Amino acid sequence: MSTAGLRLAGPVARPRTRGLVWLVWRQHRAALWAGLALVVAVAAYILWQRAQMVGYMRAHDIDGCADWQDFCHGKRTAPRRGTDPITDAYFHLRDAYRTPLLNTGRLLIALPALIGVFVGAPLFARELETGTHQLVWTQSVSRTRWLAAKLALPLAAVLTGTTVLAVLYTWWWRAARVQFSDIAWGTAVPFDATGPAAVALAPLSFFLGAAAGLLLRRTLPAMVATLGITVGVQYGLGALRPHLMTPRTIVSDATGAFARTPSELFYTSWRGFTEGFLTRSGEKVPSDRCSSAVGDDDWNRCLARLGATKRQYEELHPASHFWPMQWIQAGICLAAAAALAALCVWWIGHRPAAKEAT
Amino acid sequence: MSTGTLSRPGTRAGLGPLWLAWRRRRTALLTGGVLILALAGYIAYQRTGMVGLIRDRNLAGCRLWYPECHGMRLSSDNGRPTPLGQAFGELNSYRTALLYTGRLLLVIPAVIGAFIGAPLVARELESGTAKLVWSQSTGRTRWLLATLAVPAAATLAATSLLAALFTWWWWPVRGMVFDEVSWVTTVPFEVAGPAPVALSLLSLVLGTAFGLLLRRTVPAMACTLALTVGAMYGLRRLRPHLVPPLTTTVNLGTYAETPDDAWRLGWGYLNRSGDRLDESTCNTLDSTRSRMRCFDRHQVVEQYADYHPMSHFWPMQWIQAGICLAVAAALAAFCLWWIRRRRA
Repeated sequence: MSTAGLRLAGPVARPRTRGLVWLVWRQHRAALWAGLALVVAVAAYILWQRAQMVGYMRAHDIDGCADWQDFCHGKRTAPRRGTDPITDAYFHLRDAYRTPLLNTGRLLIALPALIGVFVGAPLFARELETGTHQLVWTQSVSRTRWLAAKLALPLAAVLTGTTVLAVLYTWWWRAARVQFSDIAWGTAVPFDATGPAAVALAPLSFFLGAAAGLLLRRTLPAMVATLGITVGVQYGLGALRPHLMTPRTIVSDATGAFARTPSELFYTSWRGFTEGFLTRSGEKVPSDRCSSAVGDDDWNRCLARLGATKRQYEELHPASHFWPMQWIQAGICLAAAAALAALCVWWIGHRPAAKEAT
Repeated sequence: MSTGTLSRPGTRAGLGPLWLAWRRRRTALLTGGVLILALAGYIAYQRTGMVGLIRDRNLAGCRLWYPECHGMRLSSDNGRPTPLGQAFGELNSYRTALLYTGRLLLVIPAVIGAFIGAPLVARELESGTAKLVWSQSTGRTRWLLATLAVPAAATLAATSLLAALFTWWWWPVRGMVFDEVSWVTTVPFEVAGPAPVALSLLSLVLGTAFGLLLRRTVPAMACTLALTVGAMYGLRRLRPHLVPPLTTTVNLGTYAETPDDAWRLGWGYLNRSGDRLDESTCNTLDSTRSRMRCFDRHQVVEQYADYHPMSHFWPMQWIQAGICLAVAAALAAFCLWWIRRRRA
C-alpha cells in the first residue's frame, strides 16, 4: 500500500476523493488485472464455443430444432429404420458441446464464492490485521467515506465482470437450450449462471466477505467463513427455488394418459417434483405415499385404500416461470446484499475508538 | 502466535517445532475434525438407508434399462408407475445425495491447498514471524519440515477417511450406472479410492511452494486454487490413457458390444490390413447401398470399439495417485532446496 496518494488530499473536497480512489486502485491493482484476465478469457471461450456450436447447427440444418421433436425443418428426425443425418447431428452436438456448456456454467456458479473469498474478505480484514487502517483514519478522510470508497470501486468492477459473463452465458444457453432438453433449467447450472440471478449473487457474496472481514478482523478466518456462508447461501437458494412460485398442476384424462397435454410442456418444463393420482373428489394422492408397497398387487391395494382413481397429476414449473423466478431470486440476493452493506456502514460508524488500538 | 512457547520444548528438543506447529493450527485442525465427523456420519446414514432400500425392495442386480427384474415390471401397460419404478425413483434420491456429496468432496483438495497449504509459509514470511523462528536453534529445513508435517499428516488422515467412506457408500451401486454417476465419471472417480488423497497432498505442497515463492498469502492462495483446478482438469483429460484400453472386434454390420458398465472410448472400422478408420468414414452417405460401396472401396472388413472395463478402476486409480504423489514429492524437494538456498 502506498500512502503517497493521500498527499493529494488538499482543502478542496474533490481531489480528496480522487486520492481515495487512487489509493483503492493502487491496493487492488493486481486483483483487478487478474479478474480482467479471467473475464476476458472466459468471455472469449464462450464466444468461440457458441460460434462453433451455432455454426454446426446451421451447417447441419438443425438450428432451432429441439431434440424431442419428430420433425426438424419438415424432415423426420427418427425414422423407423437405420440412422439419419439429423439424429447423427444431434448426437454430435451433444458429444461436442454438452460438457463445455455445463463446465462453463459450473465455473460461473463458482465465481460468487471466489469473489467473496478473494475480493470481499481481504478488503477490510487485511487492513485491520496489519493495522494499515489506522494510518488512513488519521488522514482527513472520514471513516465512512473510506469504507464507501473501498466498497464502491471493487463492487463496480465485480458487477461489470459478472454482468458481462452472465449476459454472454445466457446468450449461449438460449441457443443451446432446445437441444439439451434433459438439463433441467431450475438446477444450479444454468439457473445460477444466467440472467439477473447470476449477477445478483456477486454483490451478495462480495458484501458477505466484506462484512466477515470487518467483524472477524483477520484475513484467513474471514475467507474461510465467507466460503462456507456463500456455499451455504447458494445451496439454500437452490432448495428454495421450487417454492419461489406456485407450480402448475397438469391432470391426465380418466385413463391416466396425458393425451391433451402438449408434449412441448413436458420437455420445456422444470419437472421432478410431486406426481401421483387424484381421488374421485379431485384430491391429490402423491405416489410416494405408497412407496413402501412391494409388488404390483400390494401397490394397487395401497392406492385403492387411499381412494386414488386412474387419473394422474403432476406438478411442474413451465418454461414461462424462468424469468419471474430469476428476478425473484435476484431480488432476494440484492436485498440481502443491501442489508449487509448497511451493516458494514453501521459497524464502522459505531465501533468505539478504544477498540481500534487492539 | 505466542513466542514464549519456543523456550518450552527445551526438554524434548526434537518435538519443539512440531509442538509449535500443532499449537498454531489447533483451530483449523479442530474445525476440520468436526466437519469431517459430521460428513462421515452423513455418509454412514445415507449408505445404511440405500443398502436397506436395495435389500428390502429386491433391487440388487436390477438396471434401469431392464424392462423386468426379479419378476417385477418397470412400467405397466398404461404407463402408470409400478413398485419397481417407484423403488428406482427412491434409489434416485440416493443417487442425488451421492452426486452432491461427491461434488462437495471434489472441492476438498483445492480447499486444502488454498486455505491450509498456501498460508502455511506465506503468512509467516509476510508477517515476518519466520525470521523469529529462524533465529532459534532449529534449522530452516527442520522448521519447514515440521511446519509441513502436521498439515500433511492431517490431510492424509482426513482425506483417506473421506475417500474410504465415499468408496464404501458408492461400492454397492457401482454397477447401476446412474445418470452422471458411472465408475469413470468425475463423481465417483475423483473422490473415491487413493486418487483424491494423493491430489490433496499435491495441492497442499503446491500451496506451500507458492507461499515460499510469492511470500504473500492471498496471491499464493489464488494461484494454488487456480493451479489445483488446472491439475484436476489435466488429470481428467489424461484418464482414458492411464491404462491401455481393451478392444473388441466384430463383423461389419453388427454392433460392437461392450459390457454394460464399460467406459466406451470410441469405435471405428478396420480395413483388410488392420488399419483403423474413423467412425465417420462413409457416414455422410445416405442410402445403405452407397454406404456398402464406400466400405468396399475402403476395404473395410470389421468394426472395432475401444473400452475400459470396470476392472480398470483400481489400476487407473493407483496410477493417477502415483502421478500426483510423484509431483508432490518433487515439489516438496523443490521447497527444501529453495529454503536452504535463500539467504537470511
